[in-house]
Amino acid sequence: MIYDANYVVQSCLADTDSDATHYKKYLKWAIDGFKRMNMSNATSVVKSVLLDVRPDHSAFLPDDYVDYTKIGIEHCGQVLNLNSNPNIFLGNSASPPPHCAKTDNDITCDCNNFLNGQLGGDYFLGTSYWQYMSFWHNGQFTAGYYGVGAGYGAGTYRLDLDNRKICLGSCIVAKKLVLEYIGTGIDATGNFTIPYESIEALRAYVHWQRHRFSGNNIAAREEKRRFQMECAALVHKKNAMTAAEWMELIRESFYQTPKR
Amino acid sequence: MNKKDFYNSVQILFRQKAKSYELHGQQISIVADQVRGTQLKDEVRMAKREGDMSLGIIPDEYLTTKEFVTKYNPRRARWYIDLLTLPVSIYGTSLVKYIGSVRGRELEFVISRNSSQLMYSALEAGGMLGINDCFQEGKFIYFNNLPFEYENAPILIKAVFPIFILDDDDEIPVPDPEKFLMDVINILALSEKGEEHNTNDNKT
Repeated sequence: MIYDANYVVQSCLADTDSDATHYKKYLKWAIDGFKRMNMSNATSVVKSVLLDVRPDHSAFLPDDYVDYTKIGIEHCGQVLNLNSNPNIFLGNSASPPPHCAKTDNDITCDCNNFLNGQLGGDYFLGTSYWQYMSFWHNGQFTAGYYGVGAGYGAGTYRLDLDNRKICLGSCIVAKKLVLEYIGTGIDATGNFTIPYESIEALRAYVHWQRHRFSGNNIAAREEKRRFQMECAALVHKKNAMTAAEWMELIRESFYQTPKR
Repeated sequence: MNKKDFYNSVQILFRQKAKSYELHGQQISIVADQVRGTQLKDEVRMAKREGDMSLGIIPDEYLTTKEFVTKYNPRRARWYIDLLTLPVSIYGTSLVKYIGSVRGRELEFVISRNSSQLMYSALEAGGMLGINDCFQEGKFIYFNNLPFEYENAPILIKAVFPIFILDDDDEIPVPDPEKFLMDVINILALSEKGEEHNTNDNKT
C-alpha cells in the first residue's frame, strides 16, 4: 500500500460512497490541505538537481522550489558548496553581467588543487576544514542568512527570487550547478507520497471543504473542528519523544547522591 | 428479463389491459426510459434527503456493461470512443460509472467534467497524479492519456444507457423487473385512454 494523495482521495470517495466524477475536486482539496498544513516541511524531502548554467552565469530554479539547503558544484561525487554574496550583479537580458577576465581557468582545476591539499586558487577560500556549518532553525538551513560561511567559494552566488534564478559570480566557469532544495512536496503528475500520520488530518480537511462548498454549514463547522483536532493530534505525534529522549530528560533532572 | 422478452410481455399485457392495437417498439422503449428515469430521480431524492450529496448511490442494477473500441480523432489529436447514443443523465450529471480495462480493474479511467478542463489546467490537481482520465462530450468520451495497449482496443463501459439501444439479449437494467413492467403497462394504458379521449374531442 502506498500512502499518497491518491490514497486520501480514494478514502474520501469511499467515505461518501461517491464515484470517480468528483476525483479531481477532491484531489484539489487534498493538495490545498497539504499546503495549508505546510506539509512540504514535514515531509523533509530534500531534492538534489543539476541545473544548467546559462551563458549569463545564471541558472533557473526548479518550479517546485521553496528553499535551498545547498548550492554548489559537483566534483568526484561530492558537492563543493558555494557561498552567498549579496553584492553580485544580477543583470538582465539587456545588460548581462560582464565576463571575468580570468575565464581561462577552469574551476575543476582549483577543485583538484583543493582536494589534493594544495590550498589556494583564485576564487576559493582555501580553508582545509569542512566549513559547512549545520545551522538549522525551524526546519530551514540558515547559515547563509547569518553570515556564517556556507561553503568554499568566497561569495559566488546570489539568489534572484523575483526572476526565480541563481546568479553566479562571473568568475565561475561551470556548466552544471548542483542545487539541493526543499520542494513543495507536490508532484501533480506522479508519485506524491504523504506522511502516514497526516492522512486523517487531510481526510478531515477534504470533508470540511466538501461541506463548506455544498452549503451545509453545520456539517462544515463540525468537520472544521475535526480537522483542527486532527492537526493537533498530528503535532503531538510529531513532537512525541522517544524512550531515549525521556531517559535523557530524567537523567538531566535527577542527580545521584551518597547513600545516607 | 431480457429486452426481447420484456417487449413481448408488454405487448401481451397491453393487449389484455387496453384491448387495443399492437404497440411499436419505439413507443415501448420511450415509456420504459421515462419510467426508469422517474425511478432514478426518486432514488437520488431519497438519498439526498438522508444527507448523501453524491450521485454514487444509484444502484448497480441500473447499469449496463458494454464494450467499445477506441478510435483516433486526428483533428482533436485524441483517442475517443463513440457511445452511439447519449447516456442517461440526472441533474446535469451523466451516469457513466466505469470506464476501464475489459480484464477487470487493472486500469480505470477517472471521469473528469468536460467544463472543468480549463480551470484545472493551471492547478496541480490538473496533473491528476499521472492517473489516466477522460471526459465526456455528448456521446463521445475523449481520453487525455490513453496507454498504447488500449489504442484500437476494446474498453469496458458501465453506464445507464437508454433502453432502446440495448441488444435483444441484454437484460433490462432495473432493480425490480416485475414492478417496472407493470408501471410501463399502466403508463401506456393511460396514454392510450388519453389519445382516445382527444380523438373523441376532435370528432365532436
